[in-house]
Amino acid sequence: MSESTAPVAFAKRLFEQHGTVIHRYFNRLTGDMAAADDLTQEVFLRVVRGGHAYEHRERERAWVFRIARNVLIDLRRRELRAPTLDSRVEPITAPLQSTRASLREALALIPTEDREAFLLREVAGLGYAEIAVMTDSTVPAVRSRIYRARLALRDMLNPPGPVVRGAIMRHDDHD
Amino acid sequence: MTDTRELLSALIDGEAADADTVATILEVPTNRALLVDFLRLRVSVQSEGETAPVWREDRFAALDTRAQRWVRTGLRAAAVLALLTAGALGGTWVEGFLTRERPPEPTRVVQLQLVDHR
Repeated sequence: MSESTAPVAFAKRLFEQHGTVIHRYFNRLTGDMAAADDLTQEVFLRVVRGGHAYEHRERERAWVFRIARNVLIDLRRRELRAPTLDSRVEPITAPLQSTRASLREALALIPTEDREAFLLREVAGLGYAEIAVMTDSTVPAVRSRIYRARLALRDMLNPPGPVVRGAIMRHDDHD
Repeated sequence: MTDTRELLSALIDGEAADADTVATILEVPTNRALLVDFLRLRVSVQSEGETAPVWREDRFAALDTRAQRWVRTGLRAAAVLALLTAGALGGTWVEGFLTRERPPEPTRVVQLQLVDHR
């Protein structure tokens, strides 16, 4: 059976190839593993429903991440209509309590557009041009956003002072 | 580009960069440290421990069944439509074929009568 006649098989193949990265992307954005699970499932349910819309001109990963971004946009809209206390997209807004703040907390504190461009680059592995198309922006703007995000994260995770440079960003320190 | 160090960020993303400019930027020790921190940040983002997502077979199987049901319904409808169309077209053709060999129906009948003029 071809993929066009087996949307679930198509989605499952994409899940096996990109599911972990999509999940990591949501986890970085929400800081909530359960929410990341649900959002990842939603992405691939949409793949099943809209598998016919995939165009082979586009890189598969970019296409799946476009769906992931739409899932997030829909979630934000729903939350705007019916705000909840445990907002999943930006759960942390308080200032950092410790210089050894986690990456998750630091990510929540940088501007949404910078965070999105940064994660699409670092987690999804998309190029500047792909991110620019996806976010309806330009390549120079994407480059600046990613740089600003890196600089801000670096300053938050490696504040000036007696802390040994680089020590905070060792991955075994997070979560 | 407002900050020349932005080039370092683009550099680690595989964007084109002028080698001489990069060399000039990297002559400054704090810029070298910045580059290293950017790379450490990348490692942090990409390697933070987490569990892999699980494919929920039941949810997708239900979708698959629903999709197949829609496909089957669509195929049945198309078959019925095709049969009806074929029937209508076939009927018209058969009617034309049968009437082609038959002489035309008379529209009026003329009766001749013998007249005696003697």
